Formats: sequence, structure tokens, C-alpha cells
Amino acid sequence: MTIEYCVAWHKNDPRYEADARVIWSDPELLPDNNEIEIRAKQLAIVAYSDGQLAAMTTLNVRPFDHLRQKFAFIRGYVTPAFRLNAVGRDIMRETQKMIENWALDNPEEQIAGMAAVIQVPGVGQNPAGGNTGLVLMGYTQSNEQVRAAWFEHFRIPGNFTN
Amino acid sequence: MTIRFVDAWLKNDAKLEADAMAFWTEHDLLGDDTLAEDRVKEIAVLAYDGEKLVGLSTLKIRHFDQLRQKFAFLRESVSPDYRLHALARTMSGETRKVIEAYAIAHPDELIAGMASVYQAKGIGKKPIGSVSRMALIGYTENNAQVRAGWFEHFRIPANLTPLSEFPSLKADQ
Repeated sequence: MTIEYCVAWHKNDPRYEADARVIWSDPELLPDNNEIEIRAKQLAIVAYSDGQLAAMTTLNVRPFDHLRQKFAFIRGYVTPAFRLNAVGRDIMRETQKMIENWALDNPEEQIAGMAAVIQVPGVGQNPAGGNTGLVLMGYTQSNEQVRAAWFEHFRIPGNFTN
Repeated sequence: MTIRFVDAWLKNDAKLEADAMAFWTEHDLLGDDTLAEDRVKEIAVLAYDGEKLVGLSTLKIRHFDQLRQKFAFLRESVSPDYRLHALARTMSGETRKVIEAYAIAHPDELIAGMASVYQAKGIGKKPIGSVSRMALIGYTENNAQVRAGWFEHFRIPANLTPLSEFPSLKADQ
């Protein structure tokens, strides 16, 4: 099985967006049509196997109040047929590499790192983040893990302490 | 200049404790004698230049509400003459080695990592410490940086029951 990982971030590629919409049209995944259009513009990496969309990630860049910087919040979806493979892990890594490079190339965007709210039960026992470097930073009010990885190149601007 | 780092953690070594007390006294770092007696039992790593104590770290093990685990909270004191030599940074790395090894050897203690509140001005521009590997994870009410580094061996206990009374982060997507 060969998986091809494609960068979709800021590409506005109609094929990637159409393939993603087909998956999101399942009302159990995204009941709100407006949300589908928002997510389509946040597509980051799409993974294909034999021409079929196997997995995808989106990134929502916004301030992370607790860390006082802007982070790219990742969401991922792996189609059921690929959930026992390493696709979920690999697409996460590909997304992290891509957005870190993009942040380096676009310093005016001041993106400090990548973050995630872990919504899948049974994952997240390694708080140090392993290969992704997504470190456990705390919990949401719904008791979900909040993880973040600072980009190596990022420096706290201005009055960074006290 | 060659700095020698000495592991003092839970050694109850009378000489190391006396050196620490003398250091704190010399640099006017002791407010309360009672606190000093407690703190001298928390000394972790002592840094010597020859026979002279030029810096030291202490660790206080306590529950870290934000992370819902027990952490070793690091504090460091460095002689003013040595502050331009990155001694504090190197000492934080040495202290991490000491407490991480201790945590591995004492799994019953469930020490999840090392944490610190950056109280000195002018430090903390890099959000992940290159030596201590402590990441910026938030700020105190006084705007001091809070840093934490999880130990690689540590795993969140499977039976962890999320407790709603613990503080939560506003990070819902």
C-alpha cells in the first residue's frame, strides 16, 4: 500500500476540497454546512491511496490565549479502512513539517507552533509527545488533553518575561 | 574555569548542606530561618569552581494542578560573578538528569517531570529550553513564565480520572 501525502495548505485546489467535502458531508462528522466550507479552506495535508482520499488534516490558525501566541490547531481524519495503519501518525508529522516550514517562510504571520485538542479516547498516554513533539499542556473544560509543540525557530517577541 | 557539579539530592550530606546555607547567607537569599531549614533539604545540584560554591539548585516535589501530575519544581541561585557563564542553564540540565534518574528509580513516587517559574528578568525568549528541555506552558498571575518538561519515561496513568475542579485551559477548537 502506497500513501501519497499532498500539501493542500493555501492551495485552493478544487479536487482536494471536493474529496474532503464528500467525507465531511456525513452529518455525523460535520452537521453544519457552513463548517464544511470553513474547513475546506483550512485543509493542510491530504493523503491518497490509489486515488482515494485516505486521510486529511486541517489547520485553524488562531491565538492560543494560554500561551499568548498564535498557534495552528490541527484536526485530523483518517478513513476507517486506514485506521489500523500508521497513516494517522504520518499525516500528523507531514502536517507539522509543512506548517513549520510555512511559518518560517512567512515570519510576519508569527505562528509559534502547532497545537491539538485530543478528542479520541485512548490516545495521549505519552505526555512528552514522542515523535510529534506535541507536549501535554493541560486540559479543556471538557477534560480533553490540550497539546502543543513550539516551533524551534520561534522566539517570544518583545517583553518576553515579567 | 572548570565547574564541577555535585549531586546533592536527598543525600543529607552535612557538608553540602552547610555550603548551601553559607551560600544563601553570603548572598542574602535567606528570608526566614525556618524556610531555610526546609529548603536545605531540597538541594539538588551544587556547582563548585574549585572549592568555592558558585551556584545551586533546589527541587520541591508537589502537585501541578494544570498538568494534574506531580512535578519537581526547580529553583536556582547563581553567584553574581558567574551569571554571564550560562551556569544556570547548564545547572538546570544537570538537575534534570538527577531528578529524572531518581524518578525512574522510584516509580512509586510518580514524578512526571521538572517545572520552573522563571523569576529572573531577561530569560525565556526561547520557548523550549535547549538544555533543560522545559517548554513554556503558561504564565503566572504575575506574568512570570511557567515552564515544564515531561520525563520521557512517564506515562499518564490509565486510571486517571479527570477532575473538573482542576483548572482548565481555554483551548476548545
